[in-house]
Amino acid sequence: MYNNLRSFAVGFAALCLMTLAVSPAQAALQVNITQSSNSAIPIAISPFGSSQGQLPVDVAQIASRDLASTGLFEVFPRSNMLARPSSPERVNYNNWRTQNVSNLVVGSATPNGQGGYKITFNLLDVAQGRPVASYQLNAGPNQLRQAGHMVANLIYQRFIGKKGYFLSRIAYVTVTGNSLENRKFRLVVSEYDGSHPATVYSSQDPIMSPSWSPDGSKLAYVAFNVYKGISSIRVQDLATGNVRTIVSGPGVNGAPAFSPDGNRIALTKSTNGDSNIFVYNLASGQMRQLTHSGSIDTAAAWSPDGSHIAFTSDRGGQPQIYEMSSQGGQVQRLTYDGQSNRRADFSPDGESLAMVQKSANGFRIAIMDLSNNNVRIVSDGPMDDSPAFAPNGQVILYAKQGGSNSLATVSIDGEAKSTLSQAGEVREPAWGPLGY
Amino acid sequence: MFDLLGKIGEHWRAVLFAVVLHALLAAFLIFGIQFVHSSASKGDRGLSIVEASVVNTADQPERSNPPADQQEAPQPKPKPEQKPDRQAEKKAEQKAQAEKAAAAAAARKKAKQKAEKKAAQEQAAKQAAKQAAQKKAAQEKARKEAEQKAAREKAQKEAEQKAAREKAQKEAAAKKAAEEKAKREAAEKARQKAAEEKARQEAEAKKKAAEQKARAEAEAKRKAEAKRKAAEEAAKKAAAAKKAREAAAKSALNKMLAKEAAGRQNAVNQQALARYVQAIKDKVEGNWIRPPGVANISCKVKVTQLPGGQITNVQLLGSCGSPAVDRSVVQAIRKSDPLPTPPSDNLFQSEIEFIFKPDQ
Repeated sequence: MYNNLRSFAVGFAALCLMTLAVSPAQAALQVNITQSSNSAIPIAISPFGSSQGQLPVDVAQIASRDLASTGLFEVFPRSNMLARPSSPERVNYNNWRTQNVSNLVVGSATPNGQGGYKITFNLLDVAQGRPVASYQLNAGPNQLRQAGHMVANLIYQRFIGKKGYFLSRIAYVTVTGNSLENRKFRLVVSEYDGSHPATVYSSQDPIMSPSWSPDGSKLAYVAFNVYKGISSIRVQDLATGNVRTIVSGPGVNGAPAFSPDGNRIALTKSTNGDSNIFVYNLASGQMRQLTHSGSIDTAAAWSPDGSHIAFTSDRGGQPQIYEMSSQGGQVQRLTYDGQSNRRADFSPDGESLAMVQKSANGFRIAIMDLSNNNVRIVSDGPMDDSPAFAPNGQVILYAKQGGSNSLATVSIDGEAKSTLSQAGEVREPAWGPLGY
Repeated sequence: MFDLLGKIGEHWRAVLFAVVLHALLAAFLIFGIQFVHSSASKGDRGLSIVEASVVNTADQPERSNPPADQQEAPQPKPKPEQKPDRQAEKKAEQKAQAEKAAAAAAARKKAKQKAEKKAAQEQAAKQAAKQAAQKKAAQEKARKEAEQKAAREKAQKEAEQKAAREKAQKEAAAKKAAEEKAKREAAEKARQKAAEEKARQEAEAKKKAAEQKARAEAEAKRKAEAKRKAAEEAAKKAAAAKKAREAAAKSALNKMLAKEAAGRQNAVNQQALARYVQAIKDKVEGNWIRPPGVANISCKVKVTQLPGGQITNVQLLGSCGSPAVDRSVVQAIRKSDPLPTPPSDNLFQSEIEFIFKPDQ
């Protein structure tokens, strides 16, 4: 029996060997992929067709710019297109293949009978020569622009795996005028890329530290009255323009930050020369002091779950980032890298912290992984300030100061950088919610 | 001497009896003589007395040393023998004295008396001699009797003693024998017991030994069997190995020859295969645009192709980490269609396994 088995095994092994010897090509070839292309995703968005001729808003163009702004997509110029199909059936894949366009978006908009449009578009895989995804969305009468952003969001999410932020808005402060007389501070709200700016508040006196409410309907910010020598923290409803001043007085009233649930605002208030973190309850109007140090504690930032507040304090000599319970107490220092660290912002997933790190290379944006405290510098400096995570966590918006004051974005891996063109000096950007 | 005393002590009755007998004999003799004297002549009284006293005195020293009661019986033997000699001497002296007295009497003129006296004396002497002879004979007889008796007694005694001794010896022997017997028996018993114990132990030991032996034998047998089997196995194996070696040598020779020829070809093939794989790798990697912000990508993709490199199927074997990554991987492969073709047809493999692992 045993011998039989053994002889069988031997025979089987021999058979295997023979098989191998006879046809070695049967075994799977193994190819290890260890590198990826550094290139961006090649995509072409053909102009959306319309049964009524040209659309009032170039939706394809808006989506193309959105995707291109991320640095993650290489958008094929419309001028190079051999054909501009608006439906999959009319696509000659070979044309796109020869031009190395891997992905093609074709779509069309038809009036929905209510002044708006029904937009249909498809994502085509040129290599396979077929549609791989199909989308539909409705746009109101004046929402074709938003529809364009939405197209970009959907494509972005398909390729990148995260929600696109092309419908989100940002707020920032601009300063214009050279002299004290004509100097103008403006609180501006724009689209995510700085386009379509709208001034929501302006003053000859400084405006500081805008902060978005979680739903994107309100802004909290600091307004000064130099003549009276007071500063105020204001909450402004963007839709109505209504303003509510929650704290006002001499000394420091600054750095407001909406809690994730939108019901409270953490802020900095000075008493007897010391600045401390307080939390203001919007419903009750009550204010509670969280820190009691004899140093400067400021720039509070809520963790996404609302359980902690990070803040900047010079209690250790140099400004560093500390963290405490959002009820106060349990203070612990988070940063040790560089000469100093300030102005923390939690990533939307709460796993990392963006901050301004001062080092021999100046002030640069750094991202610290909270799971292991590893710090990664993502900006070039030398005078970068006010980092703010995009609502999808993939990009950080910050202010470049010094020679040319402007807003810039950088992907969290530090790879994709872009500058948002803005006139004048731009300060303290804040990135609002996704917007959809 | 001490033996004798011991014997006397042992047989005091016989001794006492002998003494008493001797005493009676002596009394008889003395009274008999006195009776004769008294009846025959009164003048001899002094002589008799002298004689008797002499006898007594002569006897005394002999008796002095040994203890009185016990010495008497054996003594009579020499007394009767010595007496006649001394008596003869004394008789001669007495004769001389008598002759002197006769001479003196004659001298005083008592020749008749003298003669008479002499005759009487002679007669007396004769009588005395006769008596002495008689006495001597009697004594002799008595002596003889005594001797006989003594001999008898002695013999008896000796016999008795002997018997007693023998008896004692016998008894002692018997006792000894009994003791020895008992001893022997006890010893025998002990021996037996010991022997039994020994036998038992031996039996046990034997049994154990037998068991052990049996076991050892069984073990040895088993071992031997195992050894034999192992040896057989080894022999078989060795034979097989030999066969295999021979076959291997044979085929090795063939292979060597083939290898000589194929070696270069193989090397060329290996290099070509490596180039082929690298070409596929380069193309897919060039087409793979990895989604940003996704770490620890790891997945396998099974791809089937036609000889011209046309991809017929792409199968993701598990997720790479996220749908976007999965899509990027599949698209990278799809975009690489057609895959590079191998430099020679024998390097073609219809199935390719891509392993995406950029984060090692």
